[in-house]
Amino acid sequence: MNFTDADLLKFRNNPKRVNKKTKERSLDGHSEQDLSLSDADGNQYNLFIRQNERMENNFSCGLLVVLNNGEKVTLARYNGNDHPHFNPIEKTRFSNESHIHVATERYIAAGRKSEHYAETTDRYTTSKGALHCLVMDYHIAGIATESEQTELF
Amino acid sequence: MNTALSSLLCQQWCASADIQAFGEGARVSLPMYGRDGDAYSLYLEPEIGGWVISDKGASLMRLSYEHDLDALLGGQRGKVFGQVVAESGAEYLDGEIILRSTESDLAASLLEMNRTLTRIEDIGMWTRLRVTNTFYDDLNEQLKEIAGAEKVHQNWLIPSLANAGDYPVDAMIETGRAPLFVFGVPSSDKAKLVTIILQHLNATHIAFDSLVVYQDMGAIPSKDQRRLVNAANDMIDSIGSREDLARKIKHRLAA
Repeated sequence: MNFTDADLLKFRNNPKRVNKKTKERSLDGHSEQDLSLSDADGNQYNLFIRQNERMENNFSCGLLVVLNNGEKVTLARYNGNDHPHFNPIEKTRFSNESHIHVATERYIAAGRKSEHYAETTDRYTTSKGALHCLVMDYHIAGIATESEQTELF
Repeated sequence: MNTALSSLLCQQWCASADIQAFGEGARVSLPMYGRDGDAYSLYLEPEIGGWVISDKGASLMRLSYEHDLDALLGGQRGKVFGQVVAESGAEYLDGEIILRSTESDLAASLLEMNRTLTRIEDIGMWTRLRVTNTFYDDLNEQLKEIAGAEKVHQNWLIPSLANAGDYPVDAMIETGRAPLFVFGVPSSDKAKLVTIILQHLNATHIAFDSLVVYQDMGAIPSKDQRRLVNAANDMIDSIGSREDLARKIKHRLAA
């Protein structure tokens, strides 16, 4: 699986639609919900929503593309600020910041996990805010979300 | 001792630990990162006599991003998970990994906890397909050790059988008498398929002996086991039963 940045951009920009979703459930101290999506090219995706029930700032909303052989590749993960992160190629490190992992050609080519690279963000601080950003950024229809900014008013 | 080097290492190690206030204790992240570049957050809370180090359930939650936890922690991978936790002296409570430490052992305990969480993360690399492929690799290796590589023929298609491709044999062992057909069974689907193959072969004129080797017999539903026990000549309940497998094969090899 050697995706280029052009391939990854196509996955990002293709409009997607939710086909199926599981009920939110509590499991082993976290809540989880999973959704199945597809786009007009026939690509299949999984969107997951996770919230640690012990730690409010430990959450993740992510999108994976499911290949024909069943292998899953993470395209993006929108995380909370409960842990530090290190980008080994750029040698950059940060802590106490919400951050977004994105799949990149250079990390895949380096044999790393597709979504190893991450950048800080101030666009959200909660899992609801993270989900909204993910849905907007990856053009996902069929799921209602709310920007964190609207909660201020 | 090189005091300059010692000072350098102590300084770098101290500087690289990320320590934040957390309740009466702290959140500590060491410069040890998961496969995705995220560090492990270890939460320290005081108790009588020392400290409790916890991941607050984050490790299992991370595994759940790409895996169904019920499936991942069942079967062989669940056993590995239990072994990893036990080997580190940690406990598993409702999704949380906990390690208790005295104050004098705290630094070493933090390293041990980090190592444990890294090993748990690696369980996610063992997909069901990888576990199955490892079973077949192990089985083939054992058959060759027992019978000799020259006598073991993998993925055997029976020459005299019409549509032999529909009835493949995982391994044929030359015994000097009737060939021994060995089938590896890691799943109920495979158990069903092997039952069909053996029932078909039993109805033909072909002379053969048969041996089924389960990856873990306990993981196969009893109905599938019952059908297969009637179709096969002999069985081994687990790939781990090496001595029994060797005994049953050597018994069949010509003197």
